[in-house]
Amino acid sequence: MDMIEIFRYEFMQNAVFAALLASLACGIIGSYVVVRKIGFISGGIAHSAFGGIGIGYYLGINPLFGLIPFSLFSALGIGLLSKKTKVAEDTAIGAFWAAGMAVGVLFIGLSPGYVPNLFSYLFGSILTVPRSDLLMIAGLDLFIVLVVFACYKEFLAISFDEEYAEASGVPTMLLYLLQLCLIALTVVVLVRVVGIVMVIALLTIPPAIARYFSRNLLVMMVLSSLFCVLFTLSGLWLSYIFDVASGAMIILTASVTFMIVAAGKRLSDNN
Amino acid sequence: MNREIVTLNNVSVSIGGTKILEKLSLKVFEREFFGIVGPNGGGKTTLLRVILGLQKPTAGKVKIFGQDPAVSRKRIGYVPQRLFFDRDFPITVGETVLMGRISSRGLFRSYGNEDKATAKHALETVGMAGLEKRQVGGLSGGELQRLLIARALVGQPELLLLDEPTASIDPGMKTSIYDLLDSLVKSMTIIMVTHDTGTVSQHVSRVACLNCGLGMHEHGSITEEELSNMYHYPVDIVKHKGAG
Repeated sequence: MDMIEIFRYEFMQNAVFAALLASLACGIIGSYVVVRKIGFISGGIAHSAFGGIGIGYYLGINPLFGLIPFSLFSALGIGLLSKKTKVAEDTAIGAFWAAGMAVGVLFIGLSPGYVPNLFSYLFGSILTVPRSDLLMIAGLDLFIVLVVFACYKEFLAISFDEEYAEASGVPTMLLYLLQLCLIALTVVVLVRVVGIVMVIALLTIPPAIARYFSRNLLVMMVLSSLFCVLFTLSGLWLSYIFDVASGAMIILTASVTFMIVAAGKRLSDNN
Repeated sequence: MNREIVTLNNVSVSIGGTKILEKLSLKVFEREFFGIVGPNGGGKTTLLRVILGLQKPTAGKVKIFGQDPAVSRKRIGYVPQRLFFDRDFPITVGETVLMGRISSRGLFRSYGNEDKATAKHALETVGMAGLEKRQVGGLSGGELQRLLIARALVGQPELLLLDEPTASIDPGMKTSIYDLLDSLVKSMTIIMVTHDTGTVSQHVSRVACLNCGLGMHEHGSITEEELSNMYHYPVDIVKHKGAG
């Protein structure tokens, strides 16, 4: 079967749409994650979101509907606990990370009967994304783009120099929590593609590569999105050829490319 | 010349049970170039944060332009310590300067032509005209410092606060930054925190030594002994402009 042939299948079309839509949110929000160095927070939000999936199964609804409120709750919880109390940030992250996963395991255990597709939420399954999920992903994408468009200069200011932004009267805490909520929504968008366990790689690797070639944040966002498209589609293609898990192949494609680019950059800087 | 710009009355600040500032009183007048020297951990940056309204004092009163610091914030230009920046942050010179207009632009509104014109003018003032497209990571220490001053100027402040603007900059660059500040003080009040005990005195009108409490020095009355006590090691003596 050649490349054109397989696009006749609806699952393949859906997979490509999912990859394109996920890459948009991933490139934009991932850029903030990388320049603000909040990768670990993002990992915490992603993993604690497993609780939402468990609750979704338990209630018998689409797990993504359990995921959205739960990941927003985790994002706000981690943000408030680390900034407004004396709890160290990594402690707050660790607590939410494990507690969220525990809630997920608990509710999946309580769910009656067989739990379908659990693996696809943990490790991604881009080939099984239904049309209904695509619509939701597109809606979340639109929301993320609109918020970033509206708050671009404020987000830039708090990312570059939070104290200066605060001194200028920018509501830094509020905007920081908003950024964490956008990360939570991006996790929801990416779960279908690579799963919650590997979301963090897709949120950080494309922007990390893009940063090498970016003069400013906007360029970095555009390039990150393009790299993300490249990794998801080539990973998908490789997984098809070798008949292996798509999520893992996407992440490996991204990681290997990152190592090559980072090493190449190092060599060219030395010369 | 006599209008009080900054008035601190018996201000104390404790953070996590540690006394950072204790019963500090200070008046800074219009068009003054006021220097603050003192050892690390002596509370210099905290004092600037109190003036900016970012740090609430545990006791005492703070008035800036006769008002609460939170209210007068928009009239203050702030130049934070340059060394804290992530040099890899993808941002251009032009974008950084525009950040200084953020308080005069509401949320959800992007920068307009007037903002851009003001930013251009501020870059000209600090001698960096035409460098808008340059990436901040590629600037030298002195250029970055002047960029941060431009960002503070773009908000058209009446009071300029600088936190160690000459730290680890080569001597030639240091002189050019002092020259810039000397010309700026004609139109605004400047408060500068510095370690430059040797050079600062040739430029400031008054200098204060800060180590939890404040030792005020008008016109060259500081002694070497006093500075050594403050720093716990010998330092250059400070002589003020206008000292006989």
